[in-house]
Parts: sequence; structure tokens; C-alpha cells
Amino acid sequence: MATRSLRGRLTWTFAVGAAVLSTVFASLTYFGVRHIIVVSRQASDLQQAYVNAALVRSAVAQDSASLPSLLTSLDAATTSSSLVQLGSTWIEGTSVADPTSIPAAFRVAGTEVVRQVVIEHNVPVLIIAVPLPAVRATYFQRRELADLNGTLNRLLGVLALGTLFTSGLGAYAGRRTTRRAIAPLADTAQAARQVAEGDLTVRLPANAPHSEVATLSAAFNEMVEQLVLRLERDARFASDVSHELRSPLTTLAMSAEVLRLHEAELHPDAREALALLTTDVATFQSLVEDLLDIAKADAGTDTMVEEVLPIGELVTQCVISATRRHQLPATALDSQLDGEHYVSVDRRRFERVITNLLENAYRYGDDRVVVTLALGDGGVQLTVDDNGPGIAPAERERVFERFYRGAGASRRGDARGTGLGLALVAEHVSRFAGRVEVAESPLGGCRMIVWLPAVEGERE
Amino acid sequence: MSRLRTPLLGLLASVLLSACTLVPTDPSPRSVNSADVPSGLLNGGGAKKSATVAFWYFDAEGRLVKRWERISTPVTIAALLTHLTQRVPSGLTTALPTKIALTRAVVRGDEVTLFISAGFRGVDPETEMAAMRQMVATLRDTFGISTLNVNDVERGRTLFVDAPAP
Repeated sequence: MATRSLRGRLTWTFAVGAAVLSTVFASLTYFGVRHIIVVSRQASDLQQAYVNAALVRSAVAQDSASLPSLLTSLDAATTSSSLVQLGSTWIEGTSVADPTSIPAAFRVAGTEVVRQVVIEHNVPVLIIAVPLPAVRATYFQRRELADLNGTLNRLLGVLALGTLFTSGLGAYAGRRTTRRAIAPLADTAQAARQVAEGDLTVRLPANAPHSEVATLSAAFNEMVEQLVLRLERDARFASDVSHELRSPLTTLAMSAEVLRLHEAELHPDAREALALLTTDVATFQSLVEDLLDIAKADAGTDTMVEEVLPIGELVTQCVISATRRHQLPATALDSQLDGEHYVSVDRRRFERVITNLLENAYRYGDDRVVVTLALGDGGVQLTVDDNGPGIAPAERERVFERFYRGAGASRRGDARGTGLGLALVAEHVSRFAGRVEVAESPLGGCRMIVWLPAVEGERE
Repeated sequence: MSRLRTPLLGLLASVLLSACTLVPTDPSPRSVNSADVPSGLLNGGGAKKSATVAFWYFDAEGRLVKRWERISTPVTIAALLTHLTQRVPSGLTTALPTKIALTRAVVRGDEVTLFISAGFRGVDPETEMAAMRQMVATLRDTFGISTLNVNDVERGRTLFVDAPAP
């Protein structure tokens, strides 16, 4: 059976419960009423048979010639069929009653009144035998119970309809009741989704005290409060650490730069050590910058300076800037845009996005990186292709997690990545109301796709 | 949910089964408590031991003549036929074969059907018709019938005769 929703299951349970209960009550009603009707009818027929038998006995004792006409009148008056057995002589009324229709067990002369309901041609028939020892005769009365069958049939139909109606009513009541009952669950699920999407301001309303829903709401709100506190603590810690590291790192970088000015005077081993030092300090600086950005974003202390900018010009500037500042190879930019298109972004963050994407592409690619701008899905689509080993489909969601290093990271390049670059890209792009995803590049490597909503704008 | 399915189906099946036999039937005859039967109905006494019945015979000229005679009750057709064949008054005759065997007689309204299993074999048609007239006259006076059917089981044929006016 396919998994049903909680509401579906509750509705089904209500319907089944109502069906079971109404079926039980309908069955009890039916069997009870049937018993009363049948017993009552049989008692009535039995009383009629006694009266008829007494008349027959009298007729047989006084004047046999009147017996056929007596039976005929009895049949007419009682809508039953009468038979009298006098030894081998059977005397009938005018109704259709064949002696052979009397069960063999009845034809054996007895001393007790017996009765039996049998089915003849799909019609129930009540047969009563009254022995009349005074005249050595037996009186038989046959009475078709078709009308009783009809009554019971109608009763059954009414009860079946009632059962169906009650089941439907149960399902309807269950659906209405569960809608209200599970509404708080739906609210909680919606709030949890909002929290998962980063909205930590969402809270559930307080419900009636001492109710299960109130407990759930309080627990949920408490959980979100604790989550906010932890995130703030973590962000503050990362921010503090980054701040503390920034100054000595700057000093370290400047010292290395001074040493680089006198690189020619150094012993070859010292030159090699200086090169390593310079590279690692740059990586370290980059990591600290990224950490600081993320910490600010988490703590909500960063300020967005949103501007409506032409995307073509913005991307060109950012690519040139990133290439120069980070000493990257020249990057091909292919703009497929027709005319000016604008996006609303923070220039500094957008430059960080481009820088991180290019660094990532060159780090893991094989020195062939292409940046493409195109329109798509009601916005602007920026793609960065490389010809590296690419990213396995299973890892494409996780590469945007902080410090995530997939199985292919070591294959795709050296270990100079901070593990925060793509996380920061996702963070910034989401702040621009855009999205970022990974695909397979036609160059054979990885394709990073950044989509940003287009906005109205005009050149100043 | 499957735990609920079995009792639910059971209930539905019971309802359907009950629908098949709306009025419950009995596998065998059921006795009624004698205490519930009106007093006297099942008693053996209180009835006449004999009754006077008109029997018809043939006289010497071949005419049917009536004779009143007492026979023990209950007055059955078998008893009447036995009397007609075995208690013939002096000076009168009967056309009924002495070995006539009646298996069943059914009186329906003013018509009677006799199922004769033996006795008519070898009887000439004229005597056979005389026997029919003798029987129908006797049965007319006793049971008020106007038509006699004789089903000769032995020879697979049915004879009938209407009763003459009284």
C-alpha cells in the first residue's frame, strides 16, 4: 500500500471506524428485527393453524362432505394452503397445494405439532402440521413467506444505505476534524522549512496553554532560539579569530614581500622556502577573508550595498580585476547578451563570487576556463566552464557546503583550496535572490551556473 | 489498516450471506411445545366412533341404488372403497374389483383423483365404467365431489366421470 499522509490515514480510519460501527449496528438491527418479525409471523401462523385444525377436526368428525369446501374457504380467508390427510386420502382446498410438496418427515404420523421453513422455487414456505388424533387425521398448512422476504429485503436495503451514508459521514467528519487537528503540524513543518532556508526569525504562535500543540510550539521555538544562539556564538568566534589573525597575517605577507624584493640575494634553498611561504600566506589570507565574510553573513552584521548594475560590464570588470589581483591566466569571456541587462547586487560581494569561481576553475581545471553570459529563465545566467575532471553528480549538491572536500577534490587539483570558496559563492548569490548549481561542462570539466534575476535599470 | 480489513470483510460477508437467506430456513421439522397448543386439539377423545354414510350399489336391473350404512371413523376414501367391495348388501352387486388397491386419493375442491395401483387389469370397459359411476355417486354424497378422476397407475391411463345429479 502506498504511504498515505497523516490526514489521509486519519480520514481513512474515521471512515473505516464509522463503516465498522454502522455495519455492526446495522447487522444487529437487521438480525434483531428479522428475529422479531419471523417469530411473530410464525406465532401468528401457528395460531391460525390451530384454529383451522380445530375446524377441520370438527368437519371430519361431523361431515366429511363439507371438508373440501371448508378448506377452500380457509384458504381464501387466510391466504394459506390447507391440506388434510386421512390415511391415504388427501383433501385440499382450491389453492395449489400438492401433497408431494409436504416434506416426507411431515407425512409420518406424529403426536406433536411440527413446523418447518423450507425453500420452494426460491420462496420461503412455512409448513405446519397439526395431528388430529381424535379423527386420525393430520392438518397441514402451507404459507408462503414471500411478503416477509420482501419486508426483510427492504429493511436490508435501508440499513445498507444507512451504513454507506454513515461511512461517508465518518469520512467527511474525519477530514474536517483532522484538518483542524493537524493544522499546527503543517504550520510547524512550514516554519521548519523556513528555518532550513535560513530564516531564523520565524517563530510559532503560542497556543492554548497545557495543550500538546502548545508544547510542540514551545519546543520548536526553544530549538530555534538555541540554534540562533549557537550560530551567533559560532559566527562571533569565527569573526573574532579571523580578526585576530588578520593583522599578523598582513605583517607576515608584507615581510614576505620585502624578502621577495631581495630574492636574488638569497640562497636557492631559501628562495624555494620563500616561494612556499608566499603561496601559503596568500592562501591563508584568502581563507581568513572568506571566513570573515561568512562569519559576518551568519551573524547578520555585514551590510549589503545593493546597486542596479549592467551585468555585462560588471562581469568584465570583475574578471579583469580577479585575474590581475590573483595573478590568474587570461580568461575568455563570451557574452551572448543582446543589449544591456541589469542585476541588483552588492559590487564587492559579486566580485568575490567571480573571483572564487575563477580561482576554483583554474585550481581544478587545466588552464582552460571560459566565462559565458546569457539570458535564461527570466534572468541572467553566468556560467564558468573548465576542462578539469569535473564533479561527480552525487557531490554536486555538497560542494557548496563549508569545508566540504569531495572524493574528487584531490584528483581535481592540489590542496590549496580553503574549502570555503564555493560556500561563500552560494551565500552571496542567495543574498542576490539568485541560485548557483553545478553541471557538466561541454569542455569536459565542471560548469558552475549562477542565475540572477534581471531587474529594470538604466545607464547613468 | 490491514488489521481492520479482515473484520470489515467478515461483517460485509455476513450481511451478504444473510441477504441470501432473508427468512431463515430449518434443516428439519421443529416440534412445538405441546403446552403451547390449545387444549383439546391433540386429545384423542371426543369424536364419534362411527358415521352413517350413503353407499351406492347396483340392483338386479343394473340400476344404482343407495344404502345407508354405518362405518367407523374417520371416513376415508380407502374405507369407502373397501366397504363398496367387501360389504355388499344381499340382493345388490358391486362393479368394483375386489382387489382394488388405492395408493392415494386427493380431493381438491369438488374433484377427486384416485391413484389406483392394481385391480382394474382384465376388467372389461363396461364394468369399468359401472365401477366409476358407483364410486362417483358414493363420493359425491360423502365428500361433495362432482368429478372423479381415476389414475390407473398400473396401465398408465386416466379415466374420469362426472357425478350424476343427486
